Amino acid sequence: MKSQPSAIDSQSPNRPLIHLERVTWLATILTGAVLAMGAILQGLWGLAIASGGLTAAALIAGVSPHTGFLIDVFFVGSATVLVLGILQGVPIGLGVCVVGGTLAAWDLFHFQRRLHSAAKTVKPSTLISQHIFRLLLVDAGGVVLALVAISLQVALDLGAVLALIAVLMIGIGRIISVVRQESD
Amino acid sequence: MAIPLLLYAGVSFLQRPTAPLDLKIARTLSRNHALPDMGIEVTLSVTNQGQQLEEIAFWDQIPQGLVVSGDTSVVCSLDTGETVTLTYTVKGPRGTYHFRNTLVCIGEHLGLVQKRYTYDCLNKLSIVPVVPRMRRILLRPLRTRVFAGPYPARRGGPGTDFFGVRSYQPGDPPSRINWRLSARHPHDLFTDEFEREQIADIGVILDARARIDVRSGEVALFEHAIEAAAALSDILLADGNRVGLLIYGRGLEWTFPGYGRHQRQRILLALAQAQTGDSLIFDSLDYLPTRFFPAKSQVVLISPLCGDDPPVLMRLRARGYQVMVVSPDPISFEVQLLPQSDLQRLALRIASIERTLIIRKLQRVGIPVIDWDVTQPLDVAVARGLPRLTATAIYRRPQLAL
Repeated sequence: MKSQPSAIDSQSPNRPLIHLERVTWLATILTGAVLAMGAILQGLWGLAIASGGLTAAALIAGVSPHTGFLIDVFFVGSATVLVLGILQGVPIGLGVCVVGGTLAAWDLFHFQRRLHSAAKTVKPSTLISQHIFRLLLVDAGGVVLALVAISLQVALDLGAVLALIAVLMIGIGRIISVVRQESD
Repeated sequence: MAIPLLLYAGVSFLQRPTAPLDLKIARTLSRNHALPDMGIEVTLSVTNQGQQLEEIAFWDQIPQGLVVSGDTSVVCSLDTGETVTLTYTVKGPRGTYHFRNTLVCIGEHLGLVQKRYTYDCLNKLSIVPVVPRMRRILLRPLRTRVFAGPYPARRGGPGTDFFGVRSYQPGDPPSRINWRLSARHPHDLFTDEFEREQIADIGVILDARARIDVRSGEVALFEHAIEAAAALSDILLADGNRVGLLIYGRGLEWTFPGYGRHQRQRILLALAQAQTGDSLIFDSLDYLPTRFFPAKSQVVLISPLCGDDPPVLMRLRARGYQVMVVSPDPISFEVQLLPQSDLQRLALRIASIERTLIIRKLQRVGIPVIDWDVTQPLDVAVARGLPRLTATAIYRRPQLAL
């Protein structure tokens, strides 16, 4: 059966970029909300406000050639708020989810910046869907592994942890290579 | 908690592009020569001859001064053998523009590891000046070349204008015998002679000294001088003459004399890159290299003129060159933008008197000066300053067929 062009592509070449922007906003808001909720549940109102402020700043700054630094500030600020929260009793599982969400938001912001840096994007829907798929694979894999590592409570020395991480990296890299070859 | 971050960084590192980049980049212009503000389509095609590139961005570097419409950069992914084409349009003012580099940035899909490359991709675009329409002009060079042309050669031979009478020589056609004169000399016959019409060597000198250029807003008087040089070269070449161009200012930019369409193109290309400039040596016309022009040839100087120019031009005339000056009027050009005041009117009068004196000085030694108010067409000024070649003016095409 002959493949038809997607509805997004046929309507407007900017539609995939708009969708990407919405996904980025969603990831940012969810991450900020989860962190703020965790902080509120622990009665840490200051951390909740800081989290909300960082999220709002990132959304207001948006994507432009001059906001790369701001996005990095948002990412580092969220990590700092998270560490402070965990030290004061925010569940570590929630913290891992927030790390995953923040990483996804940071990556998507930078991906948007890269797309906006050029005047034209060829086959944007394919490029964006492939990027989101690989990001999800890496991010979700990292979060799941971190949650498993927390729940197992196995005592490992540093060398073993590093070796395990190396194996995971190579494994996921191979998976992505296989997926890429299949998509070719 | 650091596992997601480490995994992200590790996967990015493992997926980074390692094989050497093998791209074939070609840029083509719809035309290499164009007129000002004419749209030129630029096509940049990038072909990936190496391994698949997950994310590649490239930016075409546009020369300064050109106005672009369309996209000059693109982000895409390129499979092996795949080609991406970028098309945009540029236009701009007179000048020579060099397209040099294309920037390429490649990265893995997560974008953490990126590499930048610069590809040399050279193209040259010349935007030549507009050639205004002109009528043929009558020059009287002291020496002409052997080939038939439009200018009276001061020698007897085939032609249309009566030149003189000589003794009959065997072979002269009977219709040329001057019977009236022969009747007065019973033992001799006389033949009418006509004046030969031949082509000439003409050197066009464009004065590009920055100190005598006048700018009014974004428009410079020099641009009018360039148009005049283009128009005069065009009409003189169209008459079959051998024309050379010397741009005198920053240095000596010399276009060797030649004939025909090819020479016209060479002159227009030289004019496309002409710019005013300062030079300690060429600050005055004293170092005008007369040896570039054959002895007794016609020299056409296009210059706004300044106070120390007349002695140099007089010397040139004394050496036997037939000099003509086309002088774009800097005073009328500049006065348009100045506020009206008594002081301005007084300054205008003084400057006008000074310029009139310079022109009179030149005219007194037999150098025709065309005082060109650039708000008027050059053709009108030339028609007023020089006699026409024919009563019925022959208009030529308004612009070059590029």
